[in-house]
Amino acid sequence: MSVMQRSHPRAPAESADVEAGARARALRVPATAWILSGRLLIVVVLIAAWQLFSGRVVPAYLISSPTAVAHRLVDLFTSGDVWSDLGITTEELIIGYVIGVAGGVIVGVALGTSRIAAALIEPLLAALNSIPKIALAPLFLLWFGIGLGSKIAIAAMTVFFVMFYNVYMGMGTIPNGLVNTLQIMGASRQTMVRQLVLPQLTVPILAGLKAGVSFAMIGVVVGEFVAADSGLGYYVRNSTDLFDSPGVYAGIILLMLLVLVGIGLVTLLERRLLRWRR
Amino acid sequence: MSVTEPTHTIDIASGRHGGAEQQASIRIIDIEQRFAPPNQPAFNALEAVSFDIGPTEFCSIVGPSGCGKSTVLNMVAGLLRPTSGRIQALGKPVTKVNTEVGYVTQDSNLLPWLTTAKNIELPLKIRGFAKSERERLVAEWIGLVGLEGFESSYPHQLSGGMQKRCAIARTLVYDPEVLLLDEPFGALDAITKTVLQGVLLDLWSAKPRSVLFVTHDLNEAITLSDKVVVMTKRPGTVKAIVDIDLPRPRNVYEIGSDPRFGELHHELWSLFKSEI
Repeated sequence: MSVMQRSHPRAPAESADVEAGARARALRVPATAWILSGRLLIVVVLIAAWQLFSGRVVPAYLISSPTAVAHRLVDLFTSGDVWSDLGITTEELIIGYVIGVAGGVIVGVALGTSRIAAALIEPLLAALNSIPKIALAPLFLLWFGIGLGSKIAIAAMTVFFVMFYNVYMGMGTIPNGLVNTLQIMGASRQTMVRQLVLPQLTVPILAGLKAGVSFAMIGVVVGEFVAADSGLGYYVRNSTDLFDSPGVYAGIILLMLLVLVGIGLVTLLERRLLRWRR
Repeated sequence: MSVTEPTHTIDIASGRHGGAEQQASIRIIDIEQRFAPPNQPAFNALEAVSFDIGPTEFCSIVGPSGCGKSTVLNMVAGLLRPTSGRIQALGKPVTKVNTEVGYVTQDSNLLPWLTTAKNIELPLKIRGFAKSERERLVAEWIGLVGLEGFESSYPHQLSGGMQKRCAIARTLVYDPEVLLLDEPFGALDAITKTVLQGVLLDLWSAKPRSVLFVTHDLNEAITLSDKVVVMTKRPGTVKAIVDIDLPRPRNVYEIGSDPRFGELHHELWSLFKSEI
């Protein structure tokens, strides 16, 4: 219904289009009350099963339990111990993400517009990308130290490749006709990027932004696992070493929430940027 | 004499055609285009193509598909360099993208993320027009092409005909001295096509300029043009240039019943049919 309210009918043909579009979307994502309550039910059942199995079927030190994890989360926030770890991981995530995204977009557009640069550099990037990033983590710790720098570097590199390939492949989808049209209008290179390339790449860039959030988090957590003295990844790792399973699960849940917040922000951006498609 | 013999050596300076008597605004001089697609034998798309277009002349190119009509247009627009031969536009050789032309293509090539008004405004923005001037021109051209009420619609919300109106407005809004149109109405239904031919003729009559119009529709070529260049099948060359001596202003809805229209159609068709 909300889709219908947003559109204001202009021509009959157009509102028919909008209705058809709304129907198509409704078929794709049936977000009715029924579905929502069904989803909630599944989650409740899973959590209940977790609570039930914990200590009875599976030892509690392996899977903890929902109540223990909830207690730990409350403790972490009431004592305030969590804030520094949460802050550090968030900082690493954001800085690494931004660097990776910017680098991926810039290099992707550059290689997408220059055939020579692409021929020279793309195979090298492909070779670099074939290295499992996790294997580089110890090296990055040597280079950038045990602090934030190494985690930011790992996250940035991971996000860079996701973004680069999305943008680079997306460059191939720019219609020649539009390029020619803008050239004849007199568009400079910068105008071409601003008016044509970036809008045309909105979808692959948004896809990269979304996937990038979880990739950045993988980079950060790997860095924190390998060597760190703070951060949520460090907290999870440390809790594991201490057989403190509520801590492990509480840390994982916080990491998950952090990623969900990031993806939520990208989704807001997506709604704004893709308004013209509705 | 309205038909010139097929020739590979048209004498540009002889001024046989109306437009060439004045200083021509586009001169296409003996161009050849050779294409060498990968894994395929090279072929000549165009050979020894020469003709002129006068400063206010409406010239159509007709020819079978694949004869290189669009290639000629792309060359005048500077998007493609001929393998040999020269192209002059407004007295200067075309050696790079020609921003003094306006180009309307078969696909409207509107930017899908811009509204009608923003699409029409884009070339003005690129060309550095002041904001107030841009607003005035956009409003004026939305009126001229009859898109009032659709200023804030996106291209996908417009019909094919309305997209075409928008593309024409976007091209003429910056007042190019030369207008290139590549089968602009090819994908439209017959009625919309006729209506838009009328719109185009009105706009051209209000401010005549050089027009190079590619089509494979002989009726359309006769209705609109001062002269029609008939091309041969590949390798495309100029088979004949037919002057269209129908009086102006023309009524696109009634011109077909003019007896002279029938004669011209017959003449063009007899040239055209051996090339199919």
